[in-house]
Amino acid sequence: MKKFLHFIIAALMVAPMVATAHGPSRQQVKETITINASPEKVWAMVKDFGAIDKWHPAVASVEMKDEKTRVLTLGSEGSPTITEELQKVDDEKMMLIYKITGMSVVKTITFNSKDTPYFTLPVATYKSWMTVKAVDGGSEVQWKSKFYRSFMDNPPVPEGQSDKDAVETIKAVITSGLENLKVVLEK
Amino acid sequence: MLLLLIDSPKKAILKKIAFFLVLGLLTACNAKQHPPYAYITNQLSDDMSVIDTSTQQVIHTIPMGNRPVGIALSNNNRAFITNSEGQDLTILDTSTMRVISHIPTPSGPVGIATNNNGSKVYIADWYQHKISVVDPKQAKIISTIFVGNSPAGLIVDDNRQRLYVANRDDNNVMIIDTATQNVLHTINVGSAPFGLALSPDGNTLYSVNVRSSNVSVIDTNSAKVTRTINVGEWPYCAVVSPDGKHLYVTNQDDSTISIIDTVNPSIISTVDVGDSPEGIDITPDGQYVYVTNWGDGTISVINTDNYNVENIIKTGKGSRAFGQFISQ
Repeated sequence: MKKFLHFIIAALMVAPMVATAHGPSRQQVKETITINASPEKVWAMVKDFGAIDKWHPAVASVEMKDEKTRVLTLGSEGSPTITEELQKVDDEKMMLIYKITGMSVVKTITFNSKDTPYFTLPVATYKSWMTVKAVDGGSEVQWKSKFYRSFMDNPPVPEGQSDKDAVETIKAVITSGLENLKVVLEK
Repeated sequence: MLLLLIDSPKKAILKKIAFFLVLGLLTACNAKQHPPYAYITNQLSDDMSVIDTSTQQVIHTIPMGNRPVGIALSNNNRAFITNSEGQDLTILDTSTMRVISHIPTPSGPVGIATNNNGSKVYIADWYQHKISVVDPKQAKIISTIFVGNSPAGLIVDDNRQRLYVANRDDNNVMIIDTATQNVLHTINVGSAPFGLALSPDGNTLYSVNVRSSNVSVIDTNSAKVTRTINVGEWPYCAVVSPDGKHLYVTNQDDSTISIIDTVNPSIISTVDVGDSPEGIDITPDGQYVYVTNWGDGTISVINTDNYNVENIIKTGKGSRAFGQFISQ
């Protein structure tokens, strides 16, 4: 019963990703890191969609809903979640593409007399590319994401919801992930 | 008229002089002051790269407003640029490359188009779901046309006195009579139409649908979608060749261009370009397609004879050029 209640609460928390205007400009973050390990070894870890918790420091646990859908929990039970769907795995190019399909609502504020949800990440229509290639000294991993900020209406934008906030948050997610991927693989 | 009056053989030499004088004057009036230029808005460096298409080199870099996105060109030496964050319109004199004025706009100026003589400029407002009509001479908004949600791409067809509007968040395209400013037709297309392209004869309009990864082909006479063509991932903008036979579409998330045969609608080639291609236009002779690679801050120049990327031109950051950006 308690589990069922949890499920209901979780379901209510995952807001539908409505396709509306999220500011006029799509944003992009692109970071790379060189890892002293073979491309095969790096790619094996990167492509393991259900095991991002093995290397991303912000991800506490991963649950695979089906073979293409993972739910990331960013802490203990009840912490913010991100649901992601694998779109493409290309072993030849050593590239995978995934997108965010849902996020939990961390809080809701009233802004301009409208309910404004704050999601796990302040982004919408988020899509990510991870690519591994061979370079001198091992492998280079590129992690690129494209997204809109999550706040849909015209400015002013509530605190923490601007294009700049979205870019800085994603930059932190990507940079910390790449740095720890390097640590884990170079062990 | 002057020539007809000069009749005497004695005045043959004078006639010749007069002839060349008149010819010279006519040529001066109609002369292209320069070869076609490409005007590239660089969204992330707040400036514009002007490229001479005869040398494929950047010859000017001009400061713009905050986050320039849209571009429209008229045949009276004017370039019109929307600054999406600056919430204004920049008017550039392309004969001197000087900025003439900045005109405040509503909050979300993105898409832009002008009539040929540059007397009316149409600006789509992303947030307020309307088109502002600007008179550049008076340097102000003279009227407003209410359209669908988040209007993006715009095209003016002077011959038919029409304005085409892609309403991204309503999944439709509107046809507006520019004389009465009434909406004549609303046509359902694919999901999230963004860029528009019009065939040179004005009979066919193409709407590039971002979320459904396809292009809707619209017969502008019947105002009906006649066909839907699948393209690459997250397509953005398109341009039709001057002979009307090919359509070139940017696919942002594949970093490719789809080349479509418009006569027997099918994809005939897919060309790799730079990161996140957005704006696209073609030189008036149909020889080169220019693609702005937003993620790289470059232009891929594609030769239409063999579909090879013949040159990559470095621009400012976030090269976008949303609109028709190559002068005639």
